[in-house]
Amino acid sequence: MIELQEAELVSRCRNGDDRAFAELVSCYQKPVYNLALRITRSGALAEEVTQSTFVKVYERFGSFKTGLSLFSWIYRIAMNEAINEYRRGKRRSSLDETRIMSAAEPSFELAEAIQEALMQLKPDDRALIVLRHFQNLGYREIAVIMDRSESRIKSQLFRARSSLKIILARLGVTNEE
Amino acid sequence: MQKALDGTLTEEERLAWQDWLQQHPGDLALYEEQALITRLLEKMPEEEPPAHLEGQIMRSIRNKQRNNHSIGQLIFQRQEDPMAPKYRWLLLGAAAIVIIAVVISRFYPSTPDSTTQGTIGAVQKADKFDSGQMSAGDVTLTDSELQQLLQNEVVQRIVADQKLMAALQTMDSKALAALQTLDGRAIEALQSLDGRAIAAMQTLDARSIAALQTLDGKAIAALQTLDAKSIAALQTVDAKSIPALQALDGKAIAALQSMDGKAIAALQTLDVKAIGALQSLDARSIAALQTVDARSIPALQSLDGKAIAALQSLDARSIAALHSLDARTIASMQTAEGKATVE
Repeated sequence: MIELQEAELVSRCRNGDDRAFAELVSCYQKPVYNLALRITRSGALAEEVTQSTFVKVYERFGSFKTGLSLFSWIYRIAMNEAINEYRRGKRRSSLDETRIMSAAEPSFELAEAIQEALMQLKPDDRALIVLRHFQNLGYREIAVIMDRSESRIKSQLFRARSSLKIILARLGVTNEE
Repeated sequence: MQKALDGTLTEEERLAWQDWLQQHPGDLALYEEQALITRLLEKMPEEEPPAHLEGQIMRSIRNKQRNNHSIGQLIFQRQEDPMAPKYRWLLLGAAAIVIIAVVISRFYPSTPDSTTQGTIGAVQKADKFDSGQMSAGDVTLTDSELQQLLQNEVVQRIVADQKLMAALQTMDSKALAALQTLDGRAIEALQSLDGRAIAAMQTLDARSIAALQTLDGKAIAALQTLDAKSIAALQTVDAKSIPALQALDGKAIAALQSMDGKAIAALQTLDVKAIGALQSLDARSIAALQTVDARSIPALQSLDGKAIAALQSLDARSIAALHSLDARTIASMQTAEGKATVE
């Protein structure tokens, strides 16, 4: 979405235009859902996170400063929602194991192993991997979303990938086959 | 290495990087490890959200609109940062007053007799409220909720207080706009205030109102984070605390607004004893306290009346030194018979 269109959309949303908000949901629901799915590993939780993210976006439009990236702002809310929901889900997991385990089905075995390895990372590292490698965001955008410096993002990403390699090796994945 | 992994090396850089790897097998292994993970991650498929999700989101937004009791546009609502309970209380009181004023301006738009005051129906509508800053359309409370609010004993007491209502009339459009972001939770909070809190609130004067006018949406959002424990603690604040609160200036307000969740959590652990100690502070102490950071809060909580008296003799320089004190030192200070000054 180009900057002008985004500014116009924000302005319409702020004026209470429901259709504008529907456009915004339509535009961002997929990346938000995927972000949540990779962090929570649960289709049901990802739906909840996506929904609560947009409710919060709606509630907090007043705090959104024009000049910032709407995309980064929404992602920051989504990431925090997903991490919080994951933590709540983890606490509930002893009572409701099936809910957490009934994640969106990975389409092939390697993907399943990667997702399993991701789940063994700290939520913060997992979010970072997802933002960089699944959502293909630049370091600057990630730095804004995670409220850290670019250099810190880069070094954390490096460490997260190293941890992922060790976990994948434990799961028997040592190459791309 | 990062640029190599990202595929953003220029041809010249790529050649230099290959040379480097040939001469540094350790780095080569590390690079291959990172590159493998990068490639694996790229293989992960993207999932389509369920078809019903978009509709579900929009339904929840519409429900939110229906259930929202905000005065003014929801769009100007909440942010995350909370703030000090003591200050929240001040906000809450003012917010309650504004809610009431808005309600009155809607239900009693034309006062039949401007000289008659003292009951809800006869409160004279302030000129400020005639200026179009708020209209009936801005009020989204349901009729039953409004009736409930109007019948509330607390509301009736506030409305009957001419001094308070006069102070309210000094509010400008910025303050009103900020306060319009309050939602139904503020009403609930209002209803939880007891007589003592109301009495304290009624001491608010024009200066307090001026301070309130520095509030932005962020501060208002903080109001909405009040829990029952905070309300209970705030109700222990009496009229004596109000002059101290009134000593807060724009800078102090801004500082309070920058408090993070950790500091707020610390403040929420204040008990009745701590509140009592705080109530003994004068304007000078308040000014000094405005330089205290979150780390100092646990230590401050261990202070008793004697220590507070000693502290009141401290200047800003001493306060800076106090920042380095821990709870143990504070405890030993309390045995020093009022000689506890910090060099």
